[in-house]
Amino acid sequence: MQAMKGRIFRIQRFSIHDGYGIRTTVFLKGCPLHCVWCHNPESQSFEPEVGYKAEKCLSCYKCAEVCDKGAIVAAEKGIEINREMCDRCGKCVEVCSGRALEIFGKDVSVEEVIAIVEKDRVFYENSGGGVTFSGGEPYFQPEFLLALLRACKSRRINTAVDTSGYARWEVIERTLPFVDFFLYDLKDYRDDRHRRTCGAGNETILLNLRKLVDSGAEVIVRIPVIPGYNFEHEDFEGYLGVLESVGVERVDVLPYHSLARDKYRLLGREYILETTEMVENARKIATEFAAFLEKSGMKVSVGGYF
Amino acid sequence: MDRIETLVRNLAKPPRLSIERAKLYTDSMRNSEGEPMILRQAKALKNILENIPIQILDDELIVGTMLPNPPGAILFPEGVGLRLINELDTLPKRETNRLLVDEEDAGVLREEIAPYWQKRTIEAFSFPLMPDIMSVLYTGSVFVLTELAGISHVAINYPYLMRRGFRWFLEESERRIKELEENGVYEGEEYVFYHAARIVSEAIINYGLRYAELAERIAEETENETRKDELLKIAEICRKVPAEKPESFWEAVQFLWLVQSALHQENYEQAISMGRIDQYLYPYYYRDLKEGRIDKHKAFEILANLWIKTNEIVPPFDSLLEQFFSGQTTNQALTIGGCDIYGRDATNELTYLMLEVTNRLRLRQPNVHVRVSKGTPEDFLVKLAEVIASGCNAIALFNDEVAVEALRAMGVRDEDAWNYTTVGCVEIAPFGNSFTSSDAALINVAKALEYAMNEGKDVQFGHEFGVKTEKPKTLEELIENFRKQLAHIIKLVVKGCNILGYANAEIKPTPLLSLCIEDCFEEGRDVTRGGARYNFTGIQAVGVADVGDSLAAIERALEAGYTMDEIIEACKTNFVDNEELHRILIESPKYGNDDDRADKYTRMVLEFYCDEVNRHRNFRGGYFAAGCYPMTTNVGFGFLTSALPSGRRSGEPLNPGVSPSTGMDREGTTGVIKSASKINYAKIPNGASLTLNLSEDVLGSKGVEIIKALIKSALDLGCMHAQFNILKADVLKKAQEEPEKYRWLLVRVAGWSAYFVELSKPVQDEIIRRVSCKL
Repeated sequence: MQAMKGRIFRIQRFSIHDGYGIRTTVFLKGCPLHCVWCHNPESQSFEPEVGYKAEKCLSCYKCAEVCDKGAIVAAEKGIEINREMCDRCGKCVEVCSGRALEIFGKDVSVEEVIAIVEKDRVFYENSGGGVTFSGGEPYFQPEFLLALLRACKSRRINTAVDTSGYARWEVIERTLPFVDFFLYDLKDYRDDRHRRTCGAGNETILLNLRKLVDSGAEVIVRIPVIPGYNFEHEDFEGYLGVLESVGVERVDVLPYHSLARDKYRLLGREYILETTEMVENARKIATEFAAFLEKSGMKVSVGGYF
Repeated sequence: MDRIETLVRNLAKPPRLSIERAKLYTDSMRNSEGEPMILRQAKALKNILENIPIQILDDELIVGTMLPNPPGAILFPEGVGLRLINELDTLPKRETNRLLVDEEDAGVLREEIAPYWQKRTIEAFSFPLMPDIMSVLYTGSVFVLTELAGISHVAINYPYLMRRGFRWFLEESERRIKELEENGVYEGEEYVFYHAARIVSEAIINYGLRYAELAERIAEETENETRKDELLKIAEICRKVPAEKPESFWEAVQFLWLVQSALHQENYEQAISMGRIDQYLYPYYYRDLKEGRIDKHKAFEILANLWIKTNEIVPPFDSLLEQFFSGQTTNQALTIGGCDIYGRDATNELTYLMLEVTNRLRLRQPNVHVRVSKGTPEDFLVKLAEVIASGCNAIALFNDEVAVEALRAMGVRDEDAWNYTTVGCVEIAPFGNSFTSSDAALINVAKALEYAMNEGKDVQFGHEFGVKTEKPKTLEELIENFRKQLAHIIKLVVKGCNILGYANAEIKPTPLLSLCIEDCFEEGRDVTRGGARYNFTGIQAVGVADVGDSLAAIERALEAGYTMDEIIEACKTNFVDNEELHRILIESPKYGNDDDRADKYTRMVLEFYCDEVNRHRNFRGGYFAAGCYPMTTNVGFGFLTSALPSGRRSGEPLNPGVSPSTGMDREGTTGVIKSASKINYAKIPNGASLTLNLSEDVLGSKGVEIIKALIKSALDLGCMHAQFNILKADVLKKAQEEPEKYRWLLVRVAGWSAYFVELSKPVQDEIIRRVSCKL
C-alpha cells in the first residue's frame, strides 16, 4: 500500500472552479471516454504523452539526437514528432533547450501527492475548501484513488471527486465513505448522442448517478454545454427530466470554452470544434438553461463558481 | 450632480507646475540670510501661508488648497525641485505625468529662483561631504538616497494637535521663551526653537483666518441660500481651527486639512501621512451623531471631501525620478482598523464608513491602509473582501500581530508598538511620536550579487564600486562574497543617509512639523535633530527574491555539473549561446511557489540585509530600520543590472518587495502567500510589500469568499502586509493602446496605487506580464 503509485498529469493549487472554497485539484491520467470536446486532451490516454510548443523551439535538434526511435525529425521550422513511432520515453523532454517539449504523465506515490495537498491546508480551512480528484477519469485508477481519498480523510481534508461516472458501481461505492461530495458530469442525457460524441453510451453513467444520489452522497451534476454536440435549445426538458427523475438538486452548467485548442496543437492532434461562434452561443444557451433549471427548483451555478 | 461628483470634477484638469510656494519661500530666505536656520524656515513658511493665493472650490465643505489653482505640483527648490529646470520645455509634452508650465513662471524659475539655490540646496551642502557616495548614487544602479529632497515620510499626530490647538502652541512658546530669558538664555537650540514655534503657530492660525475671510466674501456674493449657509459655517469653523481645539467632526476634519495642506508648504510632498484617522476622529463623530449635529450622510460627504483634497497635489518628478518612482503619487497614507494600545480590536463605525468612502471614490490618493488582526470582526473582513473583490485596488492590509512584533524588536514600547501607524506606501511606525524617515534609501540587493560574482565590479558599466573579493568557486564562497558586498553597499548608504540627516538638520529644519510629532515641542528640539521619541531611518531592499532564486539556481546548476565560472560567464553574456544552462537556471526552484529549496535563500538574503541595516545608528540618535519594497525602483535598478543566475536576463525588472520575481510564481496565489509567510518579518521594522495579483476572470462570482479566505490565511500564516490587484490582462492591454479611455484604471504597483496609464511603459509591461502569466 505504501509503495503504491499512480499516474497523474498535473496538480493544480489555488483551484477555485472545482468545488467549494479554495482547493487543490489532482488530475489523474487516463479516461475510458473520448469526448470530442474534451478540454483536457492530455488526460485521455493513460500513457505519458509528449507535448510540443513550436513557438518555444530553438531548433537545436538535441531531441532528435537522443530519440532512440527516430520519432523526431527536423522540420522547416522546429521539429515534427511522429506520434506512432514515439514510445513516450521522455528523453527528448529532458534535453530540450527551449522548454518546447514537455511530458504529460508522471508516476507518483500517495505520499508525494499528499505532501503537496497538505501545503494549502490553511487555505482550505479558511475557505471551506479541500482537495478535488479529477482527470481524466479518477476511477480509471481505482486503487490509487481510494488510497488518496483515505489519506486525505485521515488528515481531515475535505474531498471531492470529479467523475464522468463511467466506472463500475462497486468501484465508486468503495470510495463513498471517503468522499465529501461528487462533481458528476452528465455529458448527454441521450444515449445515441453520448455514444457518438463520447465513445460510449450513457447507461452506466445514469445508473451510477441514480445509485450515488440514492446513497445519500452530495452530488453536484455538471452539464457541459457544447452546442451542436450535446446541446440544442430543445434539450432543456430532456436534461431536466433526467435530473428530476434521479433526484438531483444542484447543477453546475459549464459553457463551452476554446481554451483547450492550444492543448490539442501541443499534442499534435486536430481540434475539430468550431470556436468563436460556439463560445458565444454556448454562453447564451448556458445562461438560459441555468435560468430554466432554477425555475424548476434546482440550485444552479454557471462556470464552476460555487 | 451630487457634491462628490462636483468635487472630483474640480480636480479633473491637467496638473500644472506651481511656482508660487517656491517664490514666496525664496523671497523670505533671501531676506533672512545670517539668522538661525530654523528661524529662517519659520519665517519663510509664514510668508507662504500668509501670502499664497487661496481658493475655495465649488461645493467644498473642507477648504484649503494645497497649491493655487489645483491640481498641480509644488516646487521645493531647497531639495531636488530644481532638477526640473532643464525639462521645463518637455514637461507639458512628455509621455507620462505631464505638467503644464506657464512661460512666465518658467522665466521666474530660471532667472530668479534657480540662481539663488544653486549653492544652497541640501544636495549642494552634502556633495562636498561625500563626493564618493554621490558618484555611486548618480549612476542610479546601486542605491537611491531620497533625503536629498528633504525628509517628510511621517505620520502627523493629529490627536495631539487637536487636543491643544495652535493657540496653545503660540502661547506656550511665548511662555517658554520668557522662562528661558528669565534664566538668562537668549540663544541656543531651545531658545530659537520656541521662537520658530511661535512664528509657525501664528502663521497657521492666520492661514485659517484667511480662509474664514474668503468664505465670508464668497458667501456675500452667493445667491444660493444653502451654499451661502455652508460658506458661513465654513467661515465660522476656520475662525476657530486650527487655532483652537476642534469640537465637532466637521471642525476636526477641517483642522486636519488645514494642517495637512500647511505641512505640504513646508515639507516636500512625499508620504505626509494622517495616521490612525478612524481612531482619533471617532470621538468627534460619536458625539456629533449622539447629539444630532451630524448624520452618516454628512460624515460621508466630509470624509469624501478630505479624500478628494489629497489628490490636489502631484510630485514634480523629473525624467530620472520617473524611472524610479513612476506613478505620480504623493503617498499620503491613512490607517484604519486594527487594535488599540492594549492589543484589543478597535474597529469602529468610522472604519466601515472610511472603507465605503474609499470604495466609492477610487482615487489615487489617499493610500488607505487597513490594519487587521485576529480580533478583526468577521463582518468587517467580509466588507473588506467585497470592496477588494469589486476591483477597488487602493487598499492595503497590515497584520497587527506581525507589525507589532517587528517594532518591539527595535525597542519600541508595547503600547507604542500596538499603536503603530502606516506611513507612505508600506512603512510602519509608532504613531505620533516617531520620525522614521521611512523612505530614506532603496538598495539594489541584486547589484551586491553582481559584484560578488565579479570581484566587486559592475559587469555592465565597468564601475568598481564593490569591495575586492576573490572569484568564487563554490556556493558558500559566493554567499560569503555577497555578504561582504552587501555590507559594503549598506555602509555607503548608511553614511550617505547620516550625512543627509545632518544636511537636513542644517539646511532644512522643519518647525511646523516639529509641533506635530511628540516630544519635539517638549524638548525644544527640531524633529530633524532627533526631537521625536523614536527616530529611525528606513532603507529598503530591492531584488531579494532575484538573489534568493539565483542562489537556489546556482545550487542546481552546480549539481548538474556546471562550474561557478561557467555560470558567471553565462550571466556576463546574458546567456547568449548558452540556452541549456539558462534552462537549468530558470527551471530551478523559485521563490513564490512554496518551495523551501528556494524560499530558504530569499529568507536568508533578507535576513543578512536586515541584520546589517538594523545595527547601524542614525544621525538623529536612533537606528536604521530595514524595509523591503521598491516603489518602482525594481524597474529602474533592474534596467541597470546584468543577467542573474536566477535566469533573469539583463535589464529586466527585479522582483518587487517580498513578491516573487515576475512570472516565477507558477503555483498560484496560495503558493505566493506561503512563500511570503516564510520571511522573517520580525527583522523588517520598516515594512515589506506583498502584492497579490488576481484576475477578475478567474475569481468570477467567488471573489468575495476567496479574498476573505486569502486574507485570513495570510494573517494565520504570519504575513506582514498584503495588497490585492484585481485586474484583467486584456483590460490592461487595451489601456495601453487607448490610454485616454482608461484614465480611471487604478492598479497597485508595489505598496501604492497609481493610474495605470500614467505609469511608464516598462512598468506597464511589467504589470501586464505579471497578470498574464496567471491566466
